[in-house]
Amino acid sequence: MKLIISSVSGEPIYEQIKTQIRTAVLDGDLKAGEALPSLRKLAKELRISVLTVTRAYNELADEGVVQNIQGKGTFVMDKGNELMKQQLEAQVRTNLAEASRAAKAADMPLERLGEMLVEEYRAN
Amino acid sequence: MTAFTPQSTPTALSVTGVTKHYDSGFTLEDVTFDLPAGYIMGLIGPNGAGKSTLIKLILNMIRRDAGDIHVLGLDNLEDEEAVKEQLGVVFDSSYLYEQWKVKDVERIVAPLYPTWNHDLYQRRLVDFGLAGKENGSKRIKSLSRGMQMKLMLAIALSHDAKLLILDEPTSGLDVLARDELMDLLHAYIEDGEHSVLFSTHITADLERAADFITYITGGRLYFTGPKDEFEESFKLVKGGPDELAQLPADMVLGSHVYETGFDALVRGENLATVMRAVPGLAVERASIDDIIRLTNTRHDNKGVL
Amino acid sequence: MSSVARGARADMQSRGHALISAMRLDLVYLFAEGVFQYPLIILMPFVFLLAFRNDFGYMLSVSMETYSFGALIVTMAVVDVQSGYRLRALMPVARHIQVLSRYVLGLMMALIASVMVALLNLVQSLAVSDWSLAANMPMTVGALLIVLAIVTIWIPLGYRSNSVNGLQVGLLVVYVIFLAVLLMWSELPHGFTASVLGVFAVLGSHAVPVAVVGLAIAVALYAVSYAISARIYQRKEW
Repeated sequence: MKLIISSVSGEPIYEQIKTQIRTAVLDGDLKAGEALPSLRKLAKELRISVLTVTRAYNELADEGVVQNIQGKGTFVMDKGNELMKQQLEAQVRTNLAEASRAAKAADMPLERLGEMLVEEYRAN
Repeated sequence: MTAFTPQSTPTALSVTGVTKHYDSGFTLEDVTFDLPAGYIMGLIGPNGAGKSTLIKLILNMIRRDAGDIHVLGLDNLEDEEAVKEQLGVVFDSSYLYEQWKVKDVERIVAPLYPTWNHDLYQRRLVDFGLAGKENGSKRIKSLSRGMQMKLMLAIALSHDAKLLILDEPTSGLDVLARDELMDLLHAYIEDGEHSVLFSTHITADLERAADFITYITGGRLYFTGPKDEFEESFKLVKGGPDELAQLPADMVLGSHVYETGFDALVRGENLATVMRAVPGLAVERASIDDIIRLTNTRHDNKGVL
Repeated sequence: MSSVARGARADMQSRGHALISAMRLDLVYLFAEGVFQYPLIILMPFVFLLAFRNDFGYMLSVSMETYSFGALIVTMAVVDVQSGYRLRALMPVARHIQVLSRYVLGLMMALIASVMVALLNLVQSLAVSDWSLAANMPMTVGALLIVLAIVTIWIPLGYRSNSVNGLQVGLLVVYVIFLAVLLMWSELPHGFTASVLGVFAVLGSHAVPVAVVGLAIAVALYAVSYAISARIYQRKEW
């Protein structure tokens, strides 16, 4: 698994880890059931604190991206799992709320916002 | 979805209400913190803050006036011998008699520890570049600071000490050597049963690797807890030179004024209030260095602690 | 064996192991500066003995021999002061056991010294015609007591001191005074020396009870010295 941590980017390290693992799972680079490196092994390889990795893994577990099994390790969850779906949906809603606010601030009509949504959906 | 909880692990080091008065007037006052097993704790603070005093108290080199210290569950006074068998210590200079030769060291130190591992020690010497005939015949006093440190480290790692205490081990080492040391410490704690207490005023080493931070200044405990929490509970605000005075004084933990502006440290929870007082301030993440630097500029800590 | 007795025995064993650890370290300290000086120190008295071949030579060599062994104890303290006592803090041996180690070694030094004095006596009897081996044998006990006395005084001082120079100078000063008295013996007023010798003669005639009382007093003082040293060292901070 490839993980690149930047100590100069403003983003906290645990966020960087989360983002990269989440992306890898969603893109299919990490398969369901695959084991992630153990907490301490990853901390050692990235030369960062164990607690930082712990936090990243715990938060990913809360999102349903991975599952932490005490004594066994951390495993990638099935992309279609319920918790992850909920999390991702909540993320969509948040982004939409922000887009709506921005649209209103720009005096953009709802139809135009809808058009932009369709364009973006189709483009990606 | 079980989370990994550090709280459920045993405690490598437990310091409770420890106090020490020196005749000179310096006092280490009521220090309390815990280091859970399997983690690295950075003990930080400016010079003279009391870090070395704390380490000496753990080793019982000086007697405490109050409080308790437990290492791996054992009382450091009542079970002193059992505790010391489990401790590995690296000071900033060698504790060995300076006239001894490197090749004599094992013969002297090994009998003190029932769990001494000869093969492991010899391998460490090779890894650290201290093995061989030429090195063996060098006297301790002719070794460089870095080599002395490595020798102490080799000893500390060779009797399965469960708690490694390092007192300013990196002053005198170059960046490469410091990196090597941090990697070594990571490998040391990998099995979750070994722990490290790392006292230093070079915080760059701890920025990434430390799990916990205990910050001591002026003989008092300023903070103890996870490193991320430490960094996140403070924020650095920057603004123009005349804007500093407009900030609520009791919320500014410390500040530094330059020609072009100022840096000030505020607690995370006060950030909103501060931003309302002076809109347009720049806010940045506070590094460990920033926090130490700015919490030591005020000598009139009127209850901001 | 009951668990209490088993626990007590394990305790004793670990304490025994701790004592041996401490003694090994003290012995390493002794040879910290190298082994070569010791044969010299120990054999020099024989050289003086054979050089003088008289009472004076004997007194001189006995003094040198006993003082050398006593002074070895101070060497241990010197190494500690020089290396900052930190190894002593790290070693998994309780402080009072570290102190006990020195006293056990002090006793061993005293025994070795008395054997050396017996040898000096033997050499003297072979080298000098009217030397009575038997009559001078009690000096071996005397040597034992002298070394114990030196150790009794110097171990606490060693723990008290934080100055290498202080220890070494102190040792030298006492040695010089000791030798000076010896060298000046013939210059001292006759009445004084006669009364001192008279005391020794009286003691000599009741050799056995004197030896017994002497040893009892020595043991008591040794124990008191240990208590004092242990107290000093327990309270020591560095």
